[in-house]
Amino acid sequence: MLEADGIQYTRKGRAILNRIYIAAKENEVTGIVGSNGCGKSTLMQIMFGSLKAEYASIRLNGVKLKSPYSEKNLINYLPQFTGLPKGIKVTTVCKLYNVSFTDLKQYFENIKIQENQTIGSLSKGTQRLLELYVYLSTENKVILLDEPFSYIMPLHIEKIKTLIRQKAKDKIIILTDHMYQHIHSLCQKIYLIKNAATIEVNDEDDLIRLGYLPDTFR
Amino acid sequence: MNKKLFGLIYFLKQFWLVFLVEIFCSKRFYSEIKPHAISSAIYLKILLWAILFLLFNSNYKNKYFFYYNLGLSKMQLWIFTWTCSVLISIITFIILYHYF
Repeated sequence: MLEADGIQYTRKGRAILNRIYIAAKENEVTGIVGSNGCGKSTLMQIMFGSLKAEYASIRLNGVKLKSPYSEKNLINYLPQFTGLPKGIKVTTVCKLYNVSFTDLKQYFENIKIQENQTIGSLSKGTQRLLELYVYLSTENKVILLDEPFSYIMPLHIEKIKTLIRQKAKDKIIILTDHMYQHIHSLCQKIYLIKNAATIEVNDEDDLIRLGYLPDTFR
Repeated sequence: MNKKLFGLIYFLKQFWLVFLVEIFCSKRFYSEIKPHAISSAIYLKILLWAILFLLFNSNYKNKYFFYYNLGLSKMQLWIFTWTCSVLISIITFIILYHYF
């Protein structure tokens, strides 16, 4: 189980995150929702270890992690934007993360991608798809996905959702997205960030009551 | 493929032009082998890398995630790059001192 506890993060005197508690287990997908600028990406980066908070306790099975991303085979973080360098080749990315290019092509049947292409020459959607597939296919135990469905066409979104469900069997997956229907269909546990704190929500009614979803959502 | 080593070399590769300029400058400074020439070269080196760090660090905010995912911290990347730069200067100095 991965826990993010008591995170405090202030930016320009404003508390972005204050009373935070998130517990994500193996064999389930955990979702984080919240309005724009509420601190979802900030929280993910703190959990990943790339952003230092005033206080943060990130624990894996009760053991506190100092710098999660530098731990061997532990965590991957998919940022909101493509993090792969434009000049790197697809084949190099696959080798780097020990992922089979043939499996990738087979999984996304009509994906337009060649082994010797550079990341920069791919469309944004394909870049996103490749990055997602690669991070989900690594041996790492924890995968953090920040808006994974951006730029991806509906057919591939369903494939990605299936892949996330498959991989969640032996991984801890935490994701955030504004497309609530995807979060709802994938996640067994959902947290809402509101007023710098996390609130565990049970259903849409909670999210409507807390002002995240419109009344017309029902 | 060793992920960390790949990441370090990939980061370093971006500075190939800087290294060329450095070798050229070092040659100019060290060829006279005077104490003041060496100290000037050191000052120039510090200034050059300070400017590069400030430029890259702000522009690289998002690009660092690739390296973080390989398990590398920002500090590791820069320390490796600076160490390589210092080594290149030392090697250039030794070659020039001994052979020219």
